[in-house]
Amino acid sequence: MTIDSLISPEVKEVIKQINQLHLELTEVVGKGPYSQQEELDWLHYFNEREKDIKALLK
Amino acid sequence: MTLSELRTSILSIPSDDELAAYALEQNPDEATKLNIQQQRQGKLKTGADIVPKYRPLTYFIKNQEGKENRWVTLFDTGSFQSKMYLVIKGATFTMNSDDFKTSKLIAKYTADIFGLTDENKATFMRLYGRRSIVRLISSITKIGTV
Repeated sequence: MTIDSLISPEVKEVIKQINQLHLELTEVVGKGPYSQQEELDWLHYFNEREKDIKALLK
Repeated sequence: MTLSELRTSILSIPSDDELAAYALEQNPDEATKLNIQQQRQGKLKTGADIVPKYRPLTYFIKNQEGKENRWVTLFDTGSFQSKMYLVIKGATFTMNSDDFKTSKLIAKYTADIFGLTDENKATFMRLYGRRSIVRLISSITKIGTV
């Protein structure tokens, strides 16, 4: 009985999104530095992404 | 918080296998109890009935003892099921029992007496595993903690 069969599609989606977020963050940070406004814009963008993922974990 | 700080707070998540193994390791007794319940309901991990059914004499004795006799429950004294435990091997999991009757029972009813049906896997994750996984995700990222 494979253990990954325990992970529901819903949890798999959360994992996928967190890993995607991690990759995007790494890429964006690597392309810095940014102006103060650009940094704030990116932070706002990633905070919104986090909120969406948190909602999936509820 | 800066972008760099945010990145260090959101780490990548382990693989599905690792997360599932973690959920099982955190709740071994619960997974085993579901397997026992499943056996008491006369079901193999495939969802099929445990067969062959009881012979007439066993059927009669179980009836006299007030025990379930309409299907095979693998329950008599309770020794076999009380000695059951979870086994995680690589990317697979099953259960086993330290009881001396185990190999005889496997020979008679197949090794599918151990393991969970799809329905019970879903029940395990809904009642126990999901909570453990969300906690783990929260501990390695800050997502889910607020």
